[in-house]
Amino acid sequence: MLKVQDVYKSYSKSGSLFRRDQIHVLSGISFGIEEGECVGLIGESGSGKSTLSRLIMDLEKPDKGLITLEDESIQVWKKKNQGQISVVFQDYTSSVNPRFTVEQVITEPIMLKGKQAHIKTKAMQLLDRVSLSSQLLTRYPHELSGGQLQRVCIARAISTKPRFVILDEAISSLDVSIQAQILELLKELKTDLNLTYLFIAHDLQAVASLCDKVLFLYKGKIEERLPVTELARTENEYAKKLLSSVIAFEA
Amino acid sequence: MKEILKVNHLEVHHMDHKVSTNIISDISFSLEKNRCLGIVGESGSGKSITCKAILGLLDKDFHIKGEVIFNDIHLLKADKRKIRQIRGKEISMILQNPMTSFDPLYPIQEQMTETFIENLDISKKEALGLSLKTLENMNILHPKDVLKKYPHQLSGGMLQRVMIGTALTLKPSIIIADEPTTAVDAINVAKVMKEFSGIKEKHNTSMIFISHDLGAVAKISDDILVMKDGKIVEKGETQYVLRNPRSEHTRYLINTRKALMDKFHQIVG
Repeated sequence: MLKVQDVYKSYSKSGSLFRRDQIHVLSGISFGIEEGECVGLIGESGSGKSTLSRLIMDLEKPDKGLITLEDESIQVWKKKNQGQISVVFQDYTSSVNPRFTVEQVITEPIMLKGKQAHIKTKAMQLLDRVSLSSQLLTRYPHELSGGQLQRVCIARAISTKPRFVILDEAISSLDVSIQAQILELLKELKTDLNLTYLFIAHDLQAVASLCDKVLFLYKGKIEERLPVTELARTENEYAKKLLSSVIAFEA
Repeated sequence: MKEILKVNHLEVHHMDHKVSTNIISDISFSLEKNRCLGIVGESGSGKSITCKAILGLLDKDFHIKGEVIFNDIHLLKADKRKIRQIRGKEISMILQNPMTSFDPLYPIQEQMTETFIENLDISKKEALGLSLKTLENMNILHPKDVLKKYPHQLSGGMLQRVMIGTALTLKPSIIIADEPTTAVDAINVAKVMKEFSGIKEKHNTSMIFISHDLGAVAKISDDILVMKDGKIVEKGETQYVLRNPRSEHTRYLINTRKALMDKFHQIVG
């Protein structure tokens, strides 16, 4: 479905006028995601995960290389398939308008597409989909807990019936006890709505419990790619280091 | 074992238009010298408020009752200047949200050197060298560039490591770490945690380590407090509590933590 071919991206260093003083954020990234797959992209801060997700959403252009969805460039694909690519961000508080009620937050993308009939029923169905009570419709974001608000963000992301969803650190700022619940929800939605996920995270445990494939991104390069089931067999130094850094929990 | 910090019957009420809400109800605990106390609970359970109350960081809307004793000083009764001296030099705090803990108008180096000059009484040049060394110790890539950057140019994880490094360099007698690993990557969490346990061993530092992640608390703390809705539901020695949880809520936290890592362990073995 998604194909990323040999993508490069660099930003110029602050305070410098020379081109060679550039920071290469992504250098030669290639990978593909098949329909219905869930691919985990793992890397530490500054490795270029979020830059990559912005390139895929066409919020920024790559310096070099090609990103295609179903063999068409993203710009063309997005025009033909409006609302079919969605994203859930890490910071749920800053990704919703604080002056909107939950209903407005969820229905904003639908309104943008122009369909306006039965908007309230739709919002209620969406809330139900993410296991929230419809009483929350009239509440404001600050009146919800983090877990609830992230569920609202997920409801908003699926409101336009997308086929491809990017989860950019979607569970990283939630409590561990809530993370487990949201992961369950994401799994459920994936099978019910036939979604394809790109799950960006820095936590191997979460990636292992949700994804089929894992990509390790380190300093702008993909260091290792393998199916989740073969994680233990990795030969790559960086992947091994990440595996060993998982905090074992014994009780 | 000497108790370095003692909290007796702490209660916090929040006053909003004459409506009083009980946030913390009657909690008591003590921190012993050279030990690490872990406080675990979900968001909203009152972990952060407890620590802010101890340091007198809550504003007038909050009514605090009870006693906090640090080295024979009653913190809740001490005057503002005395508390300011203790805060920073004696008790350092590492905050939950690195993005809002730095002044957005100044580059990192200004903020680090200011802290060092103020608390350690050293020259600007020494402070600059110390800042660079701090960043190197925290495994930050391109430390010289990072020093010149403004907070918004760095990621949350990076800022958190800067803050942890700054606090550790001050060598306080108590470090209160409020969710220090939440915004840091998995790979750096291991490094940061190592840094924390190293500090506890090398220097005479006691620590209060607050987290929602039972895994992190279990790893680092000697004693544990489990909080829910402003109350302590369970306390005791960490390993003992984890093996024999008495309260329902402790069991819930343990089970959800296990659920998250089950699959990973099946794969990796």
